[in-house]
Amino acid sequence: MSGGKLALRVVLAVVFGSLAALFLAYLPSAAGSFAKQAAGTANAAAVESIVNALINPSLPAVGAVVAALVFLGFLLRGTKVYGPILMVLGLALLAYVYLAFQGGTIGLTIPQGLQYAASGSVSIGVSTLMLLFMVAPLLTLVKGLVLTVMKSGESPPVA
Amino acid sequence: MRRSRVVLVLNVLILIAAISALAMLALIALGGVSTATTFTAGSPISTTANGVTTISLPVTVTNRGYFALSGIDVKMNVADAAGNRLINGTLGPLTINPGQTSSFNATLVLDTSKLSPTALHDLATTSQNLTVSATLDANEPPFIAVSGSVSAQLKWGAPVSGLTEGTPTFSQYNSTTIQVVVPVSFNNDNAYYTVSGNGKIAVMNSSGTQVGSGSVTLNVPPNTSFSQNVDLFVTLPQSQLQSLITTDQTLSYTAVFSLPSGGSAFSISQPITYHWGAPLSGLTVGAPQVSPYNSTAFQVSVPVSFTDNSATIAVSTNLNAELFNSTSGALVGTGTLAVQAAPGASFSNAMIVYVKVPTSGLQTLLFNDVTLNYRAQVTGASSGVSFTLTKSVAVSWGAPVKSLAVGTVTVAPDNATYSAISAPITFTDGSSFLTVSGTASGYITDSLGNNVGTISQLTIGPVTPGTAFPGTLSGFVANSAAGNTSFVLHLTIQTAWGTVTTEVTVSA
Repeated sequence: MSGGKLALRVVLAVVFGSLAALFLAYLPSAAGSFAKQAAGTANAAAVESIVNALINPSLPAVGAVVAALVFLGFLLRGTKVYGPILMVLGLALLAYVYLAFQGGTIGLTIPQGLQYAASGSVSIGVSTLMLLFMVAPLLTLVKGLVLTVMKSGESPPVA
Repeated sequence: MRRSRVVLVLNVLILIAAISALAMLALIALGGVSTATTFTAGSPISTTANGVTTISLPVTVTNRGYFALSGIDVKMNVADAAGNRLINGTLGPLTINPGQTSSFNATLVLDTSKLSPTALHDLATTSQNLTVSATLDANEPPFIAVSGSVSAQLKWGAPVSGLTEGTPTFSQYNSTTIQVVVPVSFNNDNAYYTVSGNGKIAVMNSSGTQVGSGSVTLNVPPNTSFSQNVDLFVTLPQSQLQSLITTDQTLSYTAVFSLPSGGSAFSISQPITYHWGAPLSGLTVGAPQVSPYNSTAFQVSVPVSFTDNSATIAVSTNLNAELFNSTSGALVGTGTLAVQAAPGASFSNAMIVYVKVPTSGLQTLLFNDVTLNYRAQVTGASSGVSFTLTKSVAVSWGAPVKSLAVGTVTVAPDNATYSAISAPITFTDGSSFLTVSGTASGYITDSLGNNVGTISQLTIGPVTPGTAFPGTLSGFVANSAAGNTSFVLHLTIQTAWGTVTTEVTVSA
């Protein structure tokens, strides 16, 4: 690989890795704060609490793992470890989707502190949507598996 | 080469799957937002029947999404602080297909007939937090199914808060009705609706019978106050009228205010008490005094006293007295007394009744002490209400010719046919008020009843009450009877009240 291609690969890895980190790790972790600022002072604490309840606490961490794997995937594309990286990335994305959709049923308890002393609970069933979002990670997993198998079948280079 | 194609296919599938998932999410979100913006609610329509108020809220919504909205079912109820269900609301179940516009009514039902009077009273008069509870079910198959339950506190301002009545003013409306003016005030602390309509006030007595009523037109917008005098007209029971004239008493009533509120009527009971000062309070007819008037009548003085304890009624009337013989019921005398008293003033005076000396039974009354029983009936009217008081009057009657006695007859020859006789006669005027004047005459018989002589007319009196009369009877007897040892004198006594006869046996 030439130096120019390597540089381009590094740049792409950084860009996509950063985008993944931004959307999959940072935004979930900061969503509560954003909502709090948007809600104003009256219901700020309660709205932040609701948003935090909608986002699994593990989601930013899994998102960070996904971002790291995206970075590695772009950086090590075509290498022998690319297939395993895609497999791990597929698993990580599956986990991410599962956590994001809270296993298919998003449960929300309305906290104390809202106007009119509102309280209660809401359950949102999103199983189908979750399964739809799992298709791409599954195919990524399959792709990683295929590439791993393909790489393992190739004869080693002659020294 | 074949392996590369497999990877290429996988890449394409991954891309399609990712785009499809994101597109689906975008479509759902976009459809939800677009649909939400089409939600419009019309003016609520309220109907009331048999205590059930139904509020229908017409709602229109267009499904601008790409998936059907189904199983939309909202149930809501509102309960007061004590847990009584006030409002029951429903919406759905509904299904709205993509592109379809659906119009439906969200209904809220307030059934006051199922609420206790206490709950209604509290709701009308006490600000409190109402609990709004709702359950929600909605689906956007096959992707989203929402179900939830929510409760919240809604501040309820009492529409009739701080209901107070000022001091009532009582006045006589007519002979059987009193007018009560009650200052009524309250605050409409509710932020949503106007208390309007006709407020009715029923006045109940202690036994729960309605004795009066009044009405007031209300139009009290949210968060404003009401203050107005309410006229009540209370009918006095006939049995109570006379006692109200003569007896101070506390009138206790219950005013039941029926106030319209949101299509329903709330009833609020408030006691009304009034210390009634009688215009002829303590009207008393004292012990009658009997005194002489003239030769045919005596006068009875009846002391009358009272205090005008009324705050507003001045007494100006005539009291009429009638004296009846309590045995025969015959009217024997009348009298009139003009009475006047300003509020707070006392009155005391005597009513004079002139009574004719009874002529029936004079035979007994002239010679014997008796007690004459009368019934004095005092009638009058004040503020159009008539009243009657009855008093027994006992008159001690002393016999005007008491202890009549004729002494020993003295016989003296007079001529060839008759002999002159004379005999002392005495009696005492036992009356306390009558002077006796008249004559005495008669005839004389022997013990066998044969007429043997006459008694010359003797002038009697005037003999004043309590004094004795000494006199001498004179006459003639036949000489054939002049030697008798006893005679029977048949005396005829004539007075201003009548003539009576009596027999006296005397010795000679």
